[in-house]
Amino acid sequence: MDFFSDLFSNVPNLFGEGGWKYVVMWIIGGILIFLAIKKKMEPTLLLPMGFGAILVNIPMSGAVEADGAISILYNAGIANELFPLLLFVGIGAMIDFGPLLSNPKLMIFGAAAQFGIFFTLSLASLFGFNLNDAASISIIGAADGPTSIFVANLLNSNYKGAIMVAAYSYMALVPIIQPPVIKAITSKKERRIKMPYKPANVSKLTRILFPIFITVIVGIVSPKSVTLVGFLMFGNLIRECGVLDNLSETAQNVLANLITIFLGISISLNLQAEQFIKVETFIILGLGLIAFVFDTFGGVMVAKFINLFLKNKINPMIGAAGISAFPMSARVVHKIGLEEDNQNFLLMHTIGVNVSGQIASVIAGGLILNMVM
Amino acid sequence: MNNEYVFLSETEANTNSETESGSLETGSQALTEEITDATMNFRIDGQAFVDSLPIMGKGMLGIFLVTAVIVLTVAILNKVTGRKKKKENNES
Repeated sequence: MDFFSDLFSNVPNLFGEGGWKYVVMWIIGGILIFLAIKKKMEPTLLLPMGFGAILVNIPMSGAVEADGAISILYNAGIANELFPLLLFVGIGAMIDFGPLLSNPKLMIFGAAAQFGIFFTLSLASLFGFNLNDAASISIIGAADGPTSIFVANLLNSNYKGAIMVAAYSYMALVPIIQPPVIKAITSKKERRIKMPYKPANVSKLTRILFPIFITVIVGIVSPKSVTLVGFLMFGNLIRECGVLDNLSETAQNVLANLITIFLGISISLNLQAEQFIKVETFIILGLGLIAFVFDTFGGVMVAKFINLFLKNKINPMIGAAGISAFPMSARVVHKIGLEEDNQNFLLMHTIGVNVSGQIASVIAGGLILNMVM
Repeated sequence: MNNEYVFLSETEANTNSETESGSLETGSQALTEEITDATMNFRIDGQAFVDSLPIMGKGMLGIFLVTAVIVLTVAILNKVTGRKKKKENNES
């Protein structure tokens, strides 16, 4: 009998006070895994997070003890913001800024599409979150996982788990969130506006100097975000220099995949039941959705405003592609354009706006850190 | 507001109790208990909302200003490197 009572000594913890929270987290982990596999929603992050959520919510889990594997990984790469920064090297190596460099004015829409971040900051303050938490929650609207993790960590937010789940889940839900918002604030006539693509020649020197200049400009404005923008641009420089093809290949594939695995599973330390199952989590998920909606709203409305002064109108939908979910947002807007007119190819414009959103989201993160810290 | 429920992190509550007076320690302890006991605590804080509006304004202005600098920089880069390339093509 002693043997059986020892073997199943942990089971009563499931039925004790708060034991139901573990089971809820198992279900949440299962949902994340389902969304990753069946719905193919950001599987690279949702699957490790989902499995990690189960791992850390087994009562007395050794993984979350001080010397547990997940705790060690978390301290090694999340607590010091290292993993998101290394991931940014890979992301930078993946991005082709050519469409943006051939028409740099598109950056305006990348900037406008960060409106949701600041609007959500005010809304979160209204609901009683302190400034650090409100700022961390608002950065969900950056639609950029590494930026969200970086800012939430630096601001020592109490809701990192909810913020990370919201950031990555909503990035995957862009094809569902954006279209209704875009259609609600644009007319059919506006959505059918054609934009011919005339690519300007971008020299190799410009492509090489661009990441260096961006790092200096953004770094001077926001020194706290130097590592964030610097690592992104470092990855891009590796890609564009033309002499480091092996490193570029490694950064885009091996490095990005390796860090994604470690990041996904170590984030789950913040998915422990006591930290996650709170009313605030649901409010944060709601605020994250609002951030994405108002990002889309901001980008489109600025495009509509600019159209008031233009003879050759731009399709206002491209403003919505300024949300940093690359390349999903670009494809979503392009698809809506094709639905309205199957001869309207907006992709190159939306890609340009989308990559500018990546830069703008990092700038927004840096400005938030500047103003709040 | 007479009936206010407060969002405070446990960290904040503990910090209060470490650094401030005895009466505040008791209050913080009660607050922590309220937080852990209650299922729904939130405060509609109009003043905090108003205080955050300058951050919203400065943030959006800041992004557009930095973006303008970047757009200008890229335009100059394109012009300079484009002129260089034209010169090289003419010479060859």
